[in-house]
Amino acid sequence: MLRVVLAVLRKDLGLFWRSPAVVAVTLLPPVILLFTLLMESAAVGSLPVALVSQGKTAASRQVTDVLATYPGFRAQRLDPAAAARAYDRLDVAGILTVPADVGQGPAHGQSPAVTLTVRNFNADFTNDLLRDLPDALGHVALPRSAGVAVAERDLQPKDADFLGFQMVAVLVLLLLQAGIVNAGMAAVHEWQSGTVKELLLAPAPALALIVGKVLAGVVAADVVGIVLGGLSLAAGFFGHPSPGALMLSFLVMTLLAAVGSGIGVGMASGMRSFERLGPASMLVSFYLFFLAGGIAAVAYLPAWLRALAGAIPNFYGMDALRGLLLYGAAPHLGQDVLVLALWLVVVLGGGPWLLRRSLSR
Amino acid sequence: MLRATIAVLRRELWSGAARPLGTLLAVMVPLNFLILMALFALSGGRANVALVLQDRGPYAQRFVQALTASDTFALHPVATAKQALALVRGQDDVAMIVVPPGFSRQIAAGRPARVGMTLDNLNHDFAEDARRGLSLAVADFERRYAPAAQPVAWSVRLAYPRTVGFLPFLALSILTAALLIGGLLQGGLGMAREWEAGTIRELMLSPAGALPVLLGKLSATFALALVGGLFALSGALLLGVPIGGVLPSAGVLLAVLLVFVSIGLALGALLRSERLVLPLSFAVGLPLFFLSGPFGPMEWSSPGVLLLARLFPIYYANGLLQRTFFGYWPLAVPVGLAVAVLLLWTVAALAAGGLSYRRATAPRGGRW
Repeated sequence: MLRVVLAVLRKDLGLFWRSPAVVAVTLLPPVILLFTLLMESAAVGSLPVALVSQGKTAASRQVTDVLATYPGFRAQRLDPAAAARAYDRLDVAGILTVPADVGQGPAHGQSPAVTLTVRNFNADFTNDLLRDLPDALGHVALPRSAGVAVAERDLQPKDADFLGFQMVAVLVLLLLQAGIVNAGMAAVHEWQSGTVKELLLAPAPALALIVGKVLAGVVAADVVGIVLGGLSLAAGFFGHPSPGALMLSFLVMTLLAAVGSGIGVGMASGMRSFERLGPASMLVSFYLFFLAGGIAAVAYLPAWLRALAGAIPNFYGMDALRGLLLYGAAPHLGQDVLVLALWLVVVLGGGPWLLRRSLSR
Repeated sequence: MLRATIAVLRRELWSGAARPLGTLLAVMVPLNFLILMALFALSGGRANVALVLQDRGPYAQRFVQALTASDTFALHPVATAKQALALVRGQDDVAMIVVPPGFSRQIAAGRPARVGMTLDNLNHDFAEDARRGLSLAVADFERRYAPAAQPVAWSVRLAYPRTVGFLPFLALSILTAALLIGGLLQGGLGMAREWEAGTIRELMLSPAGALPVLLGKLSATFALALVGGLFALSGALLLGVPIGGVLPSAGVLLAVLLVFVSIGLALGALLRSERLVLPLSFAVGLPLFFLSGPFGPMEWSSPGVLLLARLFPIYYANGLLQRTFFGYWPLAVPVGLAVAVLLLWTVAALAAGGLSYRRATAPRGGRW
């Protein structure tokens, strides 16, 4: 059986490296996603605002300085006329006006207010600015009486970098897509070249053929996964995971690639043509990806989508890889590996059945 | 010329009907894109937060109102902190907020009160949203019930009477991108198929010139793209996009679709391969969606990204659709210029398609 597996593996790997179309379909979705994420990270950055200070008191200067250096928005100090022009030209999202006698008045709550004039095109960035303003003013060191203090406890030792967090998502999509496409294309090749009849007549067990094809998908996926993971690591997106975490990450990547490859072989048995499998594989990997939380975290999803994500293999791969590569610990690693292994058993078990059914037609 | 145009149109539609599955799949691509992007949009809304209310006093209730008004959290009550922590650890919630016993008593007495937040700080961007959301709720609460705790008062003036929600705003940009993908796909496949199937020779031998062929193709692929666009529009309306005037909305949607189908025709004539048109239409759709200004005006991105956005028609098309559906103009360029750019793209695309067709049908050295 091992000989058969190795022969299939060697043949299918050669097929992958020789076919530019297969390489293109493998790499296209993650490349698109990567480009998209770079776009998104530019879009979700801090918003530009004009900062107009009308006072020269110490309190006014202090408030202005705090707002000017607050990282939540990009404040430009402008005079009122220049601020109005910038606002009209859409150079800024809003105007922050610090009044002359800020922080003074009959009672603090009724004192002249810092005013934010905002172009409320949508609730998302409007809320961003609304959240930022009181947060920024909380840094002003003026005398204040007792209020509500927040005691925060974080589950992770530090906030992961936004781009690093997303790179894990890209890696998962790449592994899934590479697995589905490569194993799928290798299987489809048997139909398109007519060699499927030879397979039918060969004495090799169907499981050996499936394992060989899945293994070819795994090797190809692991190679591109290691390249992307290595580049991300070198670029500092993942921080400094320990060697143990890296080895465990490789195990999870391999399991994920194997599940993807199994799905690919199953799809190929039903579709039997490159033209159908190429776009379908992209669609399936994107659906699996977004249904499992995509570039966000599942905790942000509505309950029905969270329940659905729990049934999708890449959710577990993403959870384990984010834990290992970003936070130094994956608390659900055992569960993640177990579910991925179960999925692998299901796709490997279903593969021969689908192949036989397809060949018998 | 009209007869030739209608003949090409009919042939193209019959050809689509002869491949029902392929046509249906291509028509459904914009809807698929809308669903995928809606899944993405669903994750960008309010953060699920477990609320453990251990004080039932009036100020605790008002603090919960402030949390809700912050428009950051989707709160749900949980009986104990232990249960709430299990939800956060199990990735069912982003955070838990605990309002401890005696909170109202402390506020009423003018003494410091505390609230606790346990946060799954998965990444800096998400975590800061939650932190600032809580900060806003605290400031809002203090402003009303403990004003002395706020040394600097603040107020907000909104430019427009209504703030469009996150999901409808994003859904309109998704619709624009879905129209783009549908237009590229239908226009591109319609044109490339002639080369791939070899039927371009029949067209070459026919007495019809390039213009009727191009117009016939444009009409047929536009009709197919329109079917897909209507599916996507229905999805966008379900996601909360408001309809302004029916006629202006329909007019702008049709005009935008015409631009994209024209570009699709040019793409198909240049690539001459269905295999290339199909993934490319999808591949360019996603990045261009992010250049359409899906989160807010591209003018607030970096100058390089803005420059890139202005090179593509989707930036102007999305601006026009936002003006029609939301009632404001979100671009720094004037409306007239945006319309002119789209017109230019359409003319240039049709010219490129026509040129490519002419070159393909021009005799070379006495032979086709």
